[in-house]
Amino acid sequence: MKLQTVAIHSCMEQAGDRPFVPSAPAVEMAASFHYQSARDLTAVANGELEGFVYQRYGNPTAAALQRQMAALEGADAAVACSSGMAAMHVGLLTALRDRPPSVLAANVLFGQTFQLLQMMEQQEVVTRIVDPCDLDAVDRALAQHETGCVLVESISNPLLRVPSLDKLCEVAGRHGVPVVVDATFTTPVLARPLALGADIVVHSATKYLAGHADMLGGIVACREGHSEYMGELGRHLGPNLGPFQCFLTTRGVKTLPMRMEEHCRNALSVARVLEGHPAVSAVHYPGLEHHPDRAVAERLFQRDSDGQAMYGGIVSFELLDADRSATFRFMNALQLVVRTLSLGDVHSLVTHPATTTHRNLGAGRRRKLGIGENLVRFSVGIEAGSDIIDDILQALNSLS
Amino acid sequence: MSPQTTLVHAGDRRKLGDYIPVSTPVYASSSFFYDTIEELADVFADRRPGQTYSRMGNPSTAALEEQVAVLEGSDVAFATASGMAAVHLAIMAGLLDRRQSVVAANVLYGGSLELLRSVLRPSRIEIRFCDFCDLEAVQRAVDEVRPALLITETLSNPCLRVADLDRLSEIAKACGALFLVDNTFTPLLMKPFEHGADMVIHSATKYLGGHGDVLAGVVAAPSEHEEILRQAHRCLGGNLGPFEAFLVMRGVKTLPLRMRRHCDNARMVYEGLIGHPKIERLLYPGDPEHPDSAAVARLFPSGQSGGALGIDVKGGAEGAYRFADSLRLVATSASIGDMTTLALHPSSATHRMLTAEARADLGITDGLMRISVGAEAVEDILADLRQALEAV
Repeated sequence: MKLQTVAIHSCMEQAGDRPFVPSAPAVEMAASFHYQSARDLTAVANGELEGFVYQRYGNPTAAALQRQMAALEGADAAVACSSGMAAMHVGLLTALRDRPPSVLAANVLFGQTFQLLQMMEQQEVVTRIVDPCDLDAVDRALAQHETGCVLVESISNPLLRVPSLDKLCEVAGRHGVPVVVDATFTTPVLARPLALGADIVVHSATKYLAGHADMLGGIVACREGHSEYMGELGRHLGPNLGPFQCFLTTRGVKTLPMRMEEHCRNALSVARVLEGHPAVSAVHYPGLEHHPDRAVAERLFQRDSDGQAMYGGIVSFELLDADRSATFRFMNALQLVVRTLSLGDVHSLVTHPATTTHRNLGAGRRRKLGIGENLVRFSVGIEAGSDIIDDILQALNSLS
Repeated sequence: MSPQTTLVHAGDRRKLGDYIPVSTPVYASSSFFYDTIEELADVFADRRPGQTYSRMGNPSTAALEEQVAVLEGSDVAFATASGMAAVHLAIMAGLLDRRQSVVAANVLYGGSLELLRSVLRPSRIEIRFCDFCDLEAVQRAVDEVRPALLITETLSNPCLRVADLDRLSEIAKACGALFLVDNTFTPLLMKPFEHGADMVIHSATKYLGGHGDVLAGVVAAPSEHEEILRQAHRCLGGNLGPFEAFLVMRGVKTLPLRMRRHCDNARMVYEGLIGHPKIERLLYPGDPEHPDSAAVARLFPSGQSGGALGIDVKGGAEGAYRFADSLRLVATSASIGDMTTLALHPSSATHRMLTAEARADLGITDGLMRISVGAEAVEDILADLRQALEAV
């Protein structure tokens, strides 16, 4: 079945004994489920009988979302979490189970993910850094150090490098090391990391999956062998996603394939316009000819329903000779595009990584990674492409 | 502009007028918008108050956090996705930059025991369990382990023991450890901060929410612990959704009424069942013969000993099952603190992962039923319990 169909149908219930099914998952608010027989409750708690006992252990609305995401990712199981960070934490702990306490992490990651890794150092989990686009470096690092798992983003935040996931997983596989992929920027519409050899895939569902800037959530999904412990962690750590948020995510995912194609089309147009603009010194977008990972992206990512290549909905760019205040001037001049955090929303939005998402890295680390004061991360929405471009052009022109 | 553009934006991001909603709305927004990017950067850098991204803070959860801070008499509170997320947050914050070791009460809620045993212990955190009603045992464990924190519950689950919070906090302070107290069973009744607690934890799913319709947790703390909690909360991402925050906040408004009713009902159920021929023993903190009666008298308001009750039914597991399955009004459920009376068989449910021996050590007998006394008319609760006991 095509992804578009799976996205729409996979959260639905099976009719079972009833002659009907609801047209959308019910928002099941119950904290616990009452039983006529105490033995039945025990049997369900022990997994001998199908059912629900307590919302944190499982809930019909979360189950609908988990079913939907497992189907889209081709995963054995999925767990819905209260945020992308919670999903990342569950994913990392799942991958590290009975493994050496060490993570080989991509050198560019979402800022808060670095802080989580730093926090895990308290429990002696060592983090080593590698450029995931340099497969020889990954191979050397894995040969040199006992490694619990590899952690990468499918498209890096905010500089939009695209590691060759299938080859990276192959290298890690040779060393017997599981790979965790944060696929927030690509979603299953562009790539399915588990099919490319990853063990665990993590999403901030806040972004493209839900897509409407109206909820916080995360998804962690895994291939066979990890499901039981991943589920246990979800239950023990308790970062469960509330039923309203689960429902909103299932609703968002139904339009995900359509939205994602529009995001990608618009982003490519925006990137091309920015590339030719005299006020812009650099454009980072995997769909541009000069991007170092253009070929990798073209090989890994699915094409849209018109057969066009998709490269994601995020474009990062640097303003020519701009300091923080000139960069802010540009951002403040935008009238349609929203100045905020987050990404993957239906509306276009801009973020200034140096003062927000990557603020805590410190100026030195940011400079080393290429996250300057003049860097703008642009999450291109699903508005008409020409309206987005008009707004950017008027804001750029206001600088001169 | 194309309708494809205007339909994405129309109606959103309007400034409120000069009015204030009487109840806090559900702020279903992942992120927040400012007129200028400087304002957003200032909020991010803590140079001015405001919201940026809902994992860091959200107006609906902030309202609940303010309400719970008032309830517990603390400076700050952090709302979480569940009571377990609150327990996890408090422990991880308490361990930041400290010795990775914990001394925990051996009768914690089953979920907390599982967190400590099957997640934290394998993560190279030393966990020592002991009986918190035995202060000498606690002192010995603390001397040996030099923990970063001690964690206990105000009323143990399901045996309803009451530890001496003041003495425990002295032991914790003497070794420089933080004292974490789970107050889920006794909101309003017990004020752990007045007895030396450093952080107070709630499963807000229970009495705070009170209606069996929301999962949530809270950690309350004085401002000296605000930074470690904030740091850990942002990394762990166990934030509460705004819908849930709204519902809990709505529940807390009736907490004083409900809590009084739960306590009164529990006391009358206890009194009504004393000497019942089908009952082996009754566990109730207000029992004058209760092993911790001195602590109860000092820590609880007079006549208000919580809404939980233990009924050890004659005939062991078989008796307990027969009793549970004969209940009509009272429901069998894994939760507590709802308006409806709930019954649970701990040895086959919340504490089923323990060995029979470990359960026996903790006093969790096969016939024990945990009753969370609801807010129904007490005559109806008693009538149902009595008719079910007849079936034993």
